[in-house]
Amino acid sequence: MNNLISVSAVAVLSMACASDYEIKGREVNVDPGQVTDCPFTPVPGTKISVYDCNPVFENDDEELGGDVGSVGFYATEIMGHPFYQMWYTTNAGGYGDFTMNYAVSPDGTNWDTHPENPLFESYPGAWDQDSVAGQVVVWDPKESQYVMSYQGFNLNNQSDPADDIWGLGIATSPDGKVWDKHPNNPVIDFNSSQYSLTESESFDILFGGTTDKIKPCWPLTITVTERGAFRGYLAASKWQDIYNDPLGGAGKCEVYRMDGFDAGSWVIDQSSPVLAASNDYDAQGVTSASVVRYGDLSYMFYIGFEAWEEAGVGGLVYAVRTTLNLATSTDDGVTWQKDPNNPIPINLTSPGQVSSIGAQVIGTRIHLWVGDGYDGSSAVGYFYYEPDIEPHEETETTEE
Amino acid sequence: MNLWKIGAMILLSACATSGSGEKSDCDEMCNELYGACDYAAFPDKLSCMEGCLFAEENNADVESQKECVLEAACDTFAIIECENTYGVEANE
Repeated sequence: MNNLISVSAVAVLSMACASDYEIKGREVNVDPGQVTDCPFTPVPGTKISVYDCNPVFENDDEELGGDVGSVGFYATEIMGHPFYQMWYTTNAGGYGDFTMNYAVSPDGTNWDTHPENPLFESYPGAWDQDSVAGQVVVWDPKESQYVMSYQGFNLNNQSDPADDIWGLGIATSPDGKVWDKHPNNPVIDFNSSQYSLTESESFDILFGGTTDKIKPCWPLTITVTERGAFRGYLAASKWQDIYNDPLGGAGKCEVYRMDGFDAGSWVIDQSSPVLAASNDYDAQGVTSASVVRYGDLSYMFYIGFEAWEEAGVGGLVYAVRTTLNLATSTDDGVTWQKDPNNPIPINLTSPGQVSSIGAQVIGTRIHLWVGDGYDGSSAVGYFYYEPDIEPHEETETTEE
Repeated sequence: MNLWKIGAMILLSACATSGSGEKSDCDEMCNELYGACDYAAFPDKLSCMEGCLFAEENNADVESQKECVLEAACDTFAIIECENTYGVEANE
């Protein structure tokens, strides 16, 4: 019997290595379920599959203090095989106590944290000393560097909003570990006169005047276009709507487009939102978004929210009833059409508490990292969306 | 590493050896990434080889990347840097 096996093996080897057998290069397209510990399960009625062993990251092997806060993902394909990178904040409590950290994973689910974490932390007196959050990381092939956008702020004297510094920050890194913050930070100053009203403008609106000015809510995402330029999106309210709200609400945080000549020079198109808060699921706007291009379409995965809720202190409000939604664009992100099947039913709770979204195209799939509430604490789940397939049947349960 | 994985690697290595008996850069790099480092990202060595040869056809500097990967000695952070420095996008 052993001889038979040996003879067969030699025969197979000989045949395999015959001169007419040659390995050809091809664009590989790895099914994530082939390389992860657990399978992915299709979500009926959608083009999404969910990883069965979510959530995929907890930082309990580090003594950084605090839970995982904001998370930015980027996958680098090593000869077509994605290696995942994550930049995440922790906050031990209160303003100005954050750290930025780095982890990598060969399968998107098992993570190695960098031994030199944190990469950077709060710097006293800096414009972003109190918070760095909502970070998005892209690779700029023109400059061969990672570019991170984030929302930062410094409340200075916390009882006086007039001295707040608040805006969009940019940092760059050649290796993902050592980051240089842009010298012009905040590259968009949300408190500048461009985005605030003078006393006379306010007075004018109160007596029937109009303004096109917007009030930024928060940055959403940035992308590198095929031409090597930057395009981004932020959530903002029209000052006009804020003043016209009889209930004195916080305004709708709708999606506006911004374009960057480089990572440090941005112009917001204030003329009108590219995605309006016009449906029940995004009635008050958008808290997080990620944009990718696949084929001829751009896809915006975004977290819509239905209402504001008071935090109970200092008149602060926060977004509640959040869900994941999709919009697509045929003109490279200038105009967007919402998907008629919104919202995408992947939220773990009802009403939803979905908090963040990151997306990236790898092969024929759009990989998604979705922040949600897992057993009472916020964590990140792993999903993928397949643009080329029909929605999964209601009866489908397991992917082979 | 299980026996099946060793067998498959020998089989593919034999086929990826050039006529002079020299191993190709892709073969050495895939032996390191799939074999020595045992990265889950590669479902099998064939997938690694196909991706590597495709990268080579698309102007990746595979020889330099291989040297970089071998020097990285399975440090995933360093291996990602090798791709950023020598991979397809770096040479577009």
